[in-house]
Amino acid sequence: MRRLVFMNVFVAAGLLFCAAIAGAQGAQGLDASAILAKVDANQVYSTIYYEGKMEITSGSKTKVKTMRAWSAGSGKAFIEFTNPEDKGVRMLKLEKNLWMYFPSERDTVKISGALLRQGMMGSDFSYEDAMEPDDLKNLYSAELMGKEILDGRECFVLQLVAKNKEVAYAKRKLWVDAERFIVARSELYAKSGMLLKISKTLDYTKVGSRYFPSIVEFSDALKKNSKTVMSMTSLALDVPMDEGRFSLQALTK
Amino acid sequence: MKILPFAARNLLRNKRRSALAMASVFLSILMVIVLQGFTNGFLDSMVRNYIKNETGHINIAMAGYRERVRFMPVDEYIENSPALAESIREAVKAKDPGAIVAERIRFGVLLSSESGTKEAMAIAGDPEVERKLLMLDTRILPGGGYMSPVGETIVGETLADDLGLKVGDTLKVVTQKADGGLGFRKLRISGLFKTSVNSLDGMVFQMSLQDARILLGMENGAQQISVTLSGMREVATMTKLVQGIVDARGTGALSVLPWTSIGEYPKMIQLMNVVYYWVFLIVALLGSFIIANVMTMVILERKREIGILMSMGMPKRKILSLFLAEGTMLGLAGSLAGTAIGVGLILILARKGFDMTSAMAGFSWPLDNVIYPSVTPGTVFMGIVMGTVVSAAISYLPSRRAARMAPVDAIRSA
Repeated sequence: MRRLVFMNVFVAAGLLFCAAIAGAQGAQGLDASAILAKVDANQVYSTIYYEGKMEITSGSKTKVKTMRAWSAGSGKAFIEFTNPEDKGVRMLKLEKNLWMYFPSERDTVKISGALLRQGMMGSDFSYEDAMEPDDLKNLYSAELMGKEILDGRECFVLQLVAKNKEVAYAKRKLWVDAERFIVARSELYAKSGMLLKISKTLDYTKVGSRYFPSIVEFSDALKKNSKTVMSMTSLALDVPMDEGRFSLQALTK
Repeated sequence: MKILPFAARNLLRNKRRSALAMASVFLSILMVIVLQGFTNGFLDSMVRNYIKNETGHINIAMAGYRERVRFMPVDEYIENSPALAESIREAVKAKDPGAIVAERIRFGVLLSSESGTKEAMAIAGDPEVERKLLMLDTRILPGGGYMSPVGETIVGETLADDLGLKVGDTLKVVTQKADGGLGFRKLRISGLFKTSVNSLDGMVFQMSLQDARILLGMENGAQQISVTLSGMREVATMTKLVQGIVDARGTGALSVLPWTSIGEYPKMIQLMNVVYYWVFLIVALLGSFIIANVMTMVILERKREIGILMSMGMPKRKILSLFLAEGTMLGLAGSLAGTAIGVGLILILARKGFDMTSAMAGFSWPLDNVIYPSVTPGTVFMGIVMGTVVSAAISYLPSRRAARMAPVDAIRSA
């Protein structure tokens, strides 16, 4: 089994979101590291497929993007947009590289630079967020700050500090559901302490014995009146997947 | 006794002394006029380029665009901009036939080629209109040509080098569209331009408004409309006129601003104006000091003459008038000569320009690499008045002191 990294909307919009997956387990007597390990452990899937809808609200305007997404392991993901404005636009992630295919010009471009830091398809999380690995325990040192009631549910509050400089967010604050071990809320900070992103899990789907977040809201703290709500349907986990899908040839087919 | 002919005879009597005094006035005024010409040319270049390349004298954009202008957002654009631009064009050209109304879009892009990718800035507008504004068509390198309205682009020489592209190759442009999605367009490179300004040659390419609208999914929109007038005088009046047209359109989301109210650049120009004013003032004081020194020396040297004139019964008032007339005549002659030569030099330099290419390569602001010094009627007037008044005043003071002495003391003290 390989860890699922690129699993949410853009399969790995990452830790904003993927840490929100957890199994229902007892929580008493756990330290921060153990809680984080349980959050991580609930992300163990070999493959994922879903159909997604992204509602991007900016001021009074709302845009809707729909897509189909496949992901395998920690470094492979393939997304095809299906909304009329972007129909046929495809995205391939292979480890730290990202390619986009544009049907209007029938050509593929590798995405890099500042464009990676822009909101993915106008949403509140960036392409760079999607490139992030999701292995919280290996990437961050955790400290248990206490417990809080969030939306009527008891949550552990964890403070995470990055172990190296390569991660996009130097600090995170997580509210982990004490029973389900999903991240109910996540705040992502820059090294300076500035709040950059917030994610909230709005709804769950039970997949086997695990709870899987099916609707998640993201917001960029640096943008006014902006949020992105991602919902997933037709979710399929651990299904057989053709390796050829995650190739540059598949992008242009 | 007539003072003026007497003063003139006195000046001609000691030609070397008069020439020395006049030369000091001449050199001082020449220095002031040339400095003023260069600072005028430098600031004019900055203002002119900022207006034609960036904002126009009057700029129309969405209020939301103004708030995030440094990010060059494409999601805040003027819908149906051709209709609005046409209304503005009709009204403005009725009062200023030379005015240029241009629709424009500027945005950040990722450029791609076989050899890699590079971030750059696209400037999109009507290629024919931009011949009069950006004027990059005048900087096209041999082997290339200016762009056509669809499917072609001109690229900075360094930028093309970095991407390993040449004339005839395809430039792949990726950017975020107005709706947040990613846009992609391929353009044929019709020419490479070289301005010798690093930030332009290494970061900028020009594309047509039509291509930009397709790439950005803007349909019939533009990020901004700029109105470039024939001169500065009518900016306030024309801004009101444009504001009226925009108001009549019935949308409160548009912002109409004169160039002086947009961004930090005009404030920087104003600051430079103040700095140059003080530099000019110091140079003018230095010039006055030179004139004063020489004139004082000349008058004090003539104390004996003043004493003799007094002993011969010449009234003090007439003595003062005589020296004042001499100082004024010297000052006027020196000032006229200094101003004439200074203005002549500036006019010659203004025709050829002063090439500062190597010094300006690292500049990021919109400045011509050839500076054209300029002269105004105010500069000419100031040069003549300054030299004459300072000379007259400096002649008056020491001669008054000498005239107050007893004639015998004045003769002895020389």
